[in-house]
Amino acid sequence: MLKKVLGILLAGCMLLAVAGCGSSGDKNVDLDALGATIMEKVTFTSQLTKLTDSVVGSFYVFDSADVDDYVVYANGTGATAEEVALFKASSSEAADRIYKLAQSRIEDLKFQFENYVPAEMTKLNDPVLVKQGNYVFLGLSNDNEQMKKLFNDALK
Amino acid sequence: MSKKMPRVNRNQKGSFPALPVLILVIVLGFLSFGIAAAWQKLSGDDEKLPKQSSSQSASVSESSQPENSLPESSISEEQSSPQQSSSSQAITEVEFGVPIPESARVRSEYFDDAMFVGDSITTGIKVYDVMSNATVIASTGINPDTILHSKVIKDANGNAKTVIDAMKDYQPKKIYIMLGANGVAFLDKETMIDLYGQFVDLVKAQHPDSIIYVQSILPVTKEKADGDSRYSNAKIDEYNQAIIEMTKQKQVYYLNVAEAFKDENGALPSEGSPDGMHFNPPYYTKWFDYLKTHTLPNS
Repeated sequence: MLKKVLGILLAGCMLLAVAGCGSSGDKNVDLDALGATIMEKVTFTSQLTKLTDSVVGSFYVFDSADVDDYVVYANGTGATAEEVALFKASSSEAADRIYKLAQSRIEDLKFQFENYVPAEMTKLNDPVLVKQGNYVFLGLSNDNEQMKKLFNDALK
Repeated sequence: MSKKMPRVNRNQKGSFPALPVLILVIVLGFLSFGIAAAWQKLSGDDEKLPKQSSSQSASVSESSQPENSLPESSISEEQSSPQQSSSSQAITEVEFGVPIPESARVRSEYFDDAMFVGDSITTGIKVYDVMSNATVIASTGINPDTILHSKVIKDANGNAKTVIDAMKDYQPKKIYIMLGANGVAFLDKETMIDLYGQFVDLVKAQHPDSIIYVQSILPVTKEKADGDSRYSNAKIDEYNQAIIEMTKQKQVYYLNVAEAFKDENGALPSEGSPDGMHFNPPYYTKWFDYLKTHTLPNS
């Protein structure tokens, strides 16, 4: 009898564990590898540089507790508004905050480029901005089709 | 049977005056050091004098070589500099209204307490990690008009500030300003100089003890200049002449950085710039090579 009870309990625990894994929705994305793939496969009109931590921190003012990992590539010098920002937030609430920062970054770039290089407004008015689970991805380029595909493939 | 060699007692008293010789060596050593220190002080060799005041920022990433930092009132003192590089002549005086002449090369540590202020071109110093020990306060698209009132710099809390408000949090010994690339196309010369002068006044008032270097507007490529007359290099040169006059009036220094970039056509080399105005990392190296060899004496 005891063996039966224990067996049922164990089966129940395993079922819950599997269910838990299934419901998290968070695949583990290698942001460095994704960034490298994007640099290789998306067509950009300018040279993008992988930004250092301090530069990322000045473009996206996030709380370090909100972000587990990130990779940001940008032109950054003003020649174009091309940028790729990949974030893994620490929680879904943090992901909401990072999403808002990404929206804010788009607005900052619009302010910078509106009268400076108006042609860049095309990509700023049609950004690829995705939030899924704890991941927030932003892509600014003229190659949205490829950018969307790579984002979606990474998050499947 | 081998012959034993007589043992010589080298410690016998009276055979060698060790103590007096030792004293003489020590005295001569101190004398030499004193002469060398006095000579170097007179020559104003920045790289070899011991540090006299501490003003380094917290973001030092270079090796800890000593750096000399004298008060700004010494800017016109005479000096001889036998240890300067052979390509530069001895600087005896630096005038306002004249580009800073070539000087002895300083190390990267010179920029530990330097701040760079400007537009997208200056932003590149940070983006390309050219001089990570320096402070950079810059914003893409800023021009002499918008720099006076637009809140474009975000602080650590995400609050937006104007450039001058953001500069308030720092105490740089040297401030390098570069504006005008945005503006030369749509601001007439008098308006640009008036606005630029207002910004320089704000910086001087906020940082009265800092050395202020105003840098020239940089040239554009021949293709850009030929394709858009608003950006002709002759026009940029004309604006730079007006900026020199402004620096004389405001009593700040002028750095003719443009000369480090110009090719035989007086333009930015095409291979260095994908869009005719912004340039790649090798040109940031050229920029800092110029800055390292054009500094105020004893700064």
